[in-house]
Amino acid sequence: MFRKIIGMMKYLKYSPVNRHSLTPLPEEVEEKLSLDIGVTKNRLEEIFHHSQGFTIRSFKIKTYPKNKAFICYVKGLVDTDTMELNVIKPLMNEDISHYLALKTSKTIANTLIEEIITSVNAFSLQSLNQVVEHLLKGYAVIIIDGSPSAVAIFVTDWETRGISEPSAEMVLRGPREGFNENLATNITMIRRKVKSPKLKFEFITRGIYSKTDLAICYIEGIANHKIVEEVKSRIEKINIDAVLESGYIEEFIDDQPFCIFPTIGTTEKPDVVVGKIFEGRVAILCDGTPFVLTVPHLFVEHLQTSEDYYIKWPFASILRIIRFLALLLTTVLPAAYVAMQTFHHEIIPFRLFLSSATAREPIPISSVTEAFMMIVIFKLIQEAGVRMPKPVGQAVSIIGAIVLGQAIVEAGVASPLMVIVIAITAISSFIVSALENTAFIIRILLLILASIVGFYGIVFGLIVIFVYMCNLRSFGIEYLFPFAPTSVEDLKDTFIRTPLWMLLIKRR
Amino acid sequence: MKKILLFIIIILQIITLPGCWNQREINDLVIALALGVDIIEDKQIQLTVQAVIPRKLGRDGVEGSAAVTYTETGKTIFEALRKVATVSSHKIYIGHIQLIVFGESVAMEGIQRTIDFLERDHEFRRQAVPIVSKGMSAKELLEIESIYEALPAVHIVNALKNNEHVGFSRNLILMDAFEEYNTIGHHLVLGTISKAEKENPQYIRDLHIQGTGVFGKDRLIGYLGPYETRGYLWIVGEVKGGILVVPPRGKPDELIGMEIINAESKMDVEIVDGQMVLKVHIKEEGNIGDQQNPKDHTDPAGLLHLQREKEKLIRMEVTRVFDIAQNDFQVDFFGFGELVYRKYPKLWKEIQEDWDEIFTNCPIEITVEAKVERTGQILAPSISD
Repeated sequence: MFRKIIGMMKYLKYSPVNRHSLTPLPEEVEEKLSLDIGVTKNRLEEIFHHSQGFTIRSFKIKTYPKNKAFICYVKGLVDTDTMELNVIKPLMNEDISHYLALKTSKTIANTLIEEIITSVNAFSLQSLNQVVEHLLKGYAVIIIDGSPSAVAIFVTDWETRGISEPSAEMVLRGPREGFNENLATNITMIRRKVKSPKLKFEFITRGIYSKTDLAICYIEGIANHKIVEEVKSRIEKINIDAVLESGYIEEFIDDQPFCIFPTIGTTEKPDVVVGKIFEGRVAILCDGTPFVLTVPHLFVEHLQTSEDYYIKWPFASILRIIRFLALLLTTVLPAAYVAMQTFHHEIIPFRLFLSSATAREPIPISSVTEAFMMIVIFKLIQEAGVRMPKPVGQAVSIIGAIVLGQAIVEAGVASPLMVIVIAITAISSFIVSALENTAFIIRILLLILASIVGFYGIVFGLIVIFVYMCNLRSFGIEYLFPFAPTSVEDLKDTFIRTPLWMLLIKRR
Repeated sequence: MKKILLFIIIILQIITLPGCWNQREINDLVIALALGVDIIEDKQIQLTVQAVIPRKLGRDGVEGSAAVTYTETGKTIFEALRKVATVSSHKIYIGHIQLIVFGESVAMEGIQRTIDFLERDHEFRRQAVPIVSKGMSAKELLEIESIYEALPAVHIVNALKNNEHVGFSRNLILMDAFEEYNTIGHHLVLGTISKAEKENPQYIRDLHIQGTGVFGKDRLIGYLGPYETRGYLWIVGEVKGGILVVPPRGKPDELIGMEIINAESKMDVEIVDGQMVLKVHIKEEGNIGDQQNPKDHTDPAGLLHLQREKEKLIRMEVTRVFDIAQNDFQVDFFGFGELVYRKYPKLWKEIQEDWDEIFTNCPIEITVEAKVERTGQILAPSISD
């Protein structure tokens, strides 16, 4: 029995190492293109054996009738119409050999690129590795017999989702567009908002198999170049098979991998990203996901939304305070309620005390158990509502809200006051949605402490969490930055959002 | 490893160090509303606890009182309280107590024996209202039901509070009562409740919730009636409202009711020619509330007359209560002694023992300043021709 556990532990201990050794590194040796088209063709067919979609189409270039040629591409990644119109048609129809006779120094590949192919983006490739790489990226490649270089033509076109309003970040006022899964589109959306050459994008490819493109985006002169370098170096250290979502990157570059607070921000909205990079932050875009990372990410950003800057400042300030209140309620309220119910009866006003005594009278379980039960039930309903298909999701919320909420009280399992407390907690947790899971952990922690020692435990727990937060860093910046260490200048954009003309551009 | 050990030590300390580790669910408590203390034979203390039956609160269709009384005897109040738990379903919770009733017997005997527990116990609510049951035992009082409220004690506390609008009783919380009890040169004055007409009152409406009981040291020495109580409240500056009924010019039987809006008093002592003189200056402001006389009294001369009449009435009430204090009770329950202690501390040390005796012979200077502020919605009354 013990041996088994120890064995499992050993496996856990060594598994990362094993995993690395199992992953074959890509062949670094560059393979030159063969002059013989037959060899290249065989080689390519060998590489793409069983890889569905690889297509070869042989044709003759009118200008070079002696040289055999074929165009190859991966089906589904390319736009065949463009390929026909801009590549194959001119190659097969136009004969410029009489004109070429004058300048013989050019290679075939360069001639094709410069004289015949009308595509916007075409260049020559020298090695077979490059050919494979570009094929997989959605290029069409022309291989010509007797030519040491191949021609890659940008004809990439795959189905993408249109630009739509992100469902997780709704706004009443402000741009409604959100990123989609296409990196190029996302970059364009940012570029459209910042028409300055100071807006920089640096590309890094990560993922041994996925070869996912990442773009590091910042504004030169505003962003601290140390942070930019740090971001780059951390991303470059990532060694992973595939990057499917920016969450992969997030976990690898986090300052505190075991921290329950998010120290890297995510957003789906271009205006938010632009706002952040103007504050000197660095954005990391990842191909294949609409979620863009922003670093450094501080605690105060959970209280801010993009809308705060679009509506008048007094209203924005009220909303900020409401959000902070919501954060406080969602973490402390169940614990405080249990503490009052089991320890501090004196502080409940007399009339409320009587009604809570009446409400609790038929309840057979302790307040803590009641609170735990309700929190778990709420989490179940929430998770079911998210995972279910939309029509079923509605049914889930009806069951949750009406049947469970009402029936549980009528059955005398939970008191109506507890249902109210949990409802307020749940509503508040939606207000600070980015911290929802963090708040859940803190809520449970405080609840346990409150059930043992009452308010004393809550205060103790909050102090511990506060000290913990003070120790957090996000890319070297203190997590509680404008509060601890205190910077009066930066406090202008925290609980109170002062008018825009009072807010200076932050240069970190 | 060291860190983990440190963490465990800290966690252990959280659990063990807090003083009152006292976890109880609300439904494991018997919530006491009122405590009543009586003395029965052999100097035994009889404790009556009025507690809530939560099941009967807030449910539709449940008739009658939602309170139950438990009575136990013991050598001390604490012992008696613990004994109550042997007949009640859970431990008695006194953190939300509303009312403390000193039965007449215990008040006559001396409250010193019982008051200490109320002050010493950490759970006891300082906001509870202490009263004296006049002519009846505390047990009797607490067993009387309320028609309006489900909880009789709440009814009594509310009724005491409403006395602010007439000034016939004293609404004092336990914390202030302790202060008054402890202060040098001061005596305790508590509100009283007595039977109205019926010999065996069944509901609270059969009670008189007015008047006060005056303590000399820890013993009840006499009762003040409602108007005498108001006289006392004028002097100590605790009048918060009330109606002064005065006759207008010429027609002594067609009365005018004047509402007291604001009242202040300033007490002072002074030695004039080797004689301690007690001084009270009372300021009152009020409105005309109702008028039986059909004439207009809102002209300056009429208002001046009303003010004089009010001053006369207040002076009468104050003089009456001074008379009782100096001649009947022979105790300074106004707290002039405290003023002497503050103003003439050296002299106070000499006369401390005999102060109540000196007090009975002190001349009194009463000045009253009454004002009519407003006349209500109308000036002259409506007259039918």
